[in-house]
Amino acid sequence: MKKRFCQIFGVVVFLVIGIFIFACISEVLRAKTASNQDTDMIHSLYKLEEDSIDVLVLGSSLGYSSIQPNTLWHDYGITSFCMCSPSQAVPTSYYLLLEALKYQKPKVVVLESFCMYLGKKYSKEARLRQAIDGVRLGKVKYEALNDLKFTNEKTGLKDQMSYYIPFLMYHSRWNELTNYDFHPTGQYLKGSIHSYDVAPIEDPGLSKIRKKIPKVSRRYLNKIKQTCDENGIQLVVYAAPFGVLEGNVEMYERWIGVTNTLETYLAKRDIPFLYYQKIPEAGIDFATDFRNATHMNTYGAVKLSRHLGAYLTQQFDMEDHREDPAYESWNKDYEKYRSIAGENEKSA
Amino acid sequence: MLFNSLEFLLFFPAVCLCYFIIPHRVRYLFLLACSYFFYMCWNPEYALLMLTSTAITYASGLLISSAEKIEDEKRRIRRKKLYVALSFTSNLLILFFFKYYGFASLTATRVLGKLGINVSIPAFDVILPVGISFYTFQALSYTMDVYRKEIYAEKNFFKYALFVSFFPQLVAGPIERSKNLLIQINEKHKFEFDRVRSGLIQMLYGYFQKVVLSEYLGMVVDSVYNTYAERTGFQLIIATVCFALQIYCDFGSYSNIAIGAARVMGFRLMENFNTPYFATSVADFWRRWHISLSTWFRDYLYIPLGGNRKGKVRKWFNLMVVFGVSGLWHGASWHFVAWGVMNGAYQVIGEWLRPIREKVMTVFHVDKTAFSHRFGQILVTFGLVNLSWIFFRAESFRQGLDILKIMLGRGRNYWFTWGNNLDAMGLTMATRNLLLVSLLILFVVDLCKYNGINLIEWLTKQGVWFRWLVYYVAIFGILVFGVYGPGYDASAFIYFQF
Repeated sequence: MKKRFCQIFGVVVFLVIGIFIFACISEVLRAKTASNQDTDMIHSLYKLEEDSIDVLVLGSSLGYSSIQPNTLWHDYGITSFCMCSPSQAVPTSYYLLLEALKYQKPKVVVLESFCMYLGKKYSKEARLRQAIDGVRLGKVKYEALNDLKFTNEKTGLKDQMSYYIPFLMYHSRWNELTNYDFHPTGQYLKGSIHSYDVAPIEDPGLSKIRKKIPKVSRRYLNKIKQTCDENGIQLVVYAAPFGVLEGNVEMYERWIGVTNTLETYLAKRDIPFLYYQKIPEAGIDFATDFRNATHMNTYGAVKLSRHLGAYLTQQFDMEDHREDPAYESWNKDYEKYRSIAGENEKSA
Repeated sequence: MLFNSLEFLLFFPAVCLCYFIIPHRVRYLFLLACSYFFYMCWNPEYALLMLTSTAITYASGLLISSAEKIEDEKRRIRRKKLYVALSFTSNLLILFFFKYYGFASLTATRVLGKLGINVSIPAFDVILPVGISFYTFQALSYTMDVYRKEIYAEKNFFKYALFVSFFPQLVAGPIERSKNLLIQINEKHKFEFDRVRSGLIQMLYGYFQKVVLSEYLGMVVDSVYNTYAERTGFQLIIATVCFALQIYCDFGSYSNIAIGAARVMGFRLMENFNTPYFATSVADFWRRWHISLSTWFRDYLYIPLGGNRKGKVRKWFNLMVVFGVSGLWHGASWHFVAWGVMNGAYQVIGEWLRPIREKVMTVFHVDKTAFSHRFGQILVTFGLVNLSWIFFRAESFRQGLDILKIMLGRGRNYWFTWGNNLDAMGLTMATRNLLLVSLLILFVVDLCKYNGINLIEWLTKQGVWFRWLVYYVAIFGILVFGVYGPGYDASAFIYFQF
């Protein structure tokens, strides 16, 4: 009997240690959602202290390219986090909001609106993985994957499992690991990125064209609104400025057309909408504030964040945490951000 | 359901758990259901074929057994032989139709065409049922064993059906004998920690052979063989050696996982590979390679043909027949036959030249017990076996010849060129290093086995920290470095097609 007990105990300890090692190896091997000098995006959410952020930003790459949380902190004492990922469709944003709410109680959710034009639940598999792979196992991940992918597409067991256990997907990264994989240091950027490349683009001007917002985007926007209401959170939608990509005017008109329709749609529902192409006082300059045709660089992100911070402070009575010793780490993170930003500005 | 699929990794623990929980008297029924489920994951319809083979051989056993009661000896033997013949003919006809019909009709059409006779033989587009060669041979061994009175005729159909379909070894062996496996079905298997652990370790080693070694070796083999016409002789030699190791790891892995899985549940399957590349002669190689098939051919073909009892020439003829058939068993194509014939010919020529070899050794005072002599024998055997693997891996006999010509440097003046970089061999620096370390592990494990060291036993005697360290390194080494997961189409074990 004693021997049997020892064996069972041994197996349990072996499994526990094994799971721990597995978790450590998975963490190293998982695909980091940004390059070396950048943030670790969605994965960084879990590194934040619980209930420590006031503003949660959701949306696509235009989101993490146009908002600079360290600036929001430094200028207004607002704690924020960009839970954005490339081509993040609105349904994906909805589930990421649910996941974030398990750990945070933001006062405001800021939704970046670029991907409203996508008439599907996710743009492509790689983008879905960038958003969802990092989400911890749980009800939200289960529901998200079922809703976004598994119920609509025939997905084999192996593929399904690879979403729940991303290790199955990323174990082959063993021969491409870099120092960053062992020491991901981008959390101080709170989901945003450093980008000091300047690609002057033409101001595309304001178009009055209108395009229909796809049904799926509307449906999940309403779900986001409902979730925010249920949790006493203010929803703010914003459209970061963007230009014409590779001369594709048709595509630009589709994007801007959806944004124009969205403006009316949100106004009817009393949801605040910041349409930055129509807000000259934000001071965004198409000649200096973009790194490519659709994404702002950090210079632009700082300008937009300053405007957004002022807006949020005025409208929603945001608390200034700068003097609060509990938020000391935010000052350190700002210093870290500034030291790298300063170096880049000097060399620019 | 492949052994290296996620499905099996869920299926196997669930089966084991239930197996040890449910009462002994229904365990065989449970395992039978699991085995058919396992098989039907590939192609449900083909389970009927297996059932047919099972029914025929089951009936043959009972009929042979009943014929034993006939008092007249001549009549008794005649009747028994009739049942054996019926069982063999019907089973081999099924095997022929599903595996060899296309090959036979194509060959007949070509031969007749050359004779100026144009015939149109109807074609049947059938998928080769997984493992048909394995379970057919296993079932036939039962008929023969009952005939030879080496085993009783099993009366319980379900127990016999489990013997034919036992899932760990169903689709790629080892081809079990009824006198070993069938009697184990009645045994009461308890959950014994040490046995389960050693079974799991053997499975783990099998997974290492498959998802690490076999897969990375396969990358080299595929990249070179798929573009063989543009390759140098040296590259083809490297790729052929890699294929020799790949097929060993691939097939050896399946056997290890099968034997380990069976051991977890309390079943003892026969050994299938015993350090084949340490063989000192081709005959020795065949005593160490795919032992369950080699002994099958020995017991049920070579010996009935007369074995070595009817003189040298007849023995050599028998050898050639056995190896020709063995080649055909591996695949319905002439390049497999060429591979088999080469292996038969090696042995015939070897024996024919034996007096000369003996003479040379006496003249030069060669010490047969010296390491250098044995090492030389191992190298020569490995070389000969590799030569035959060319035809096994090639997609046709002609392609095999072409590859051989390039290897011999015909028409090339850059025989020794390695190639521009590792890319040309389907590897990167990292995967090459990983492969070298893995091959070193394979070599050490085989060397220990060759020297009679049971590594699993040795490991289980070590301190807990060391054992666990080895387990973790093995598990996570396989998980990290293995080739599997989405985007990777779990390549079937090479031997599945046979």
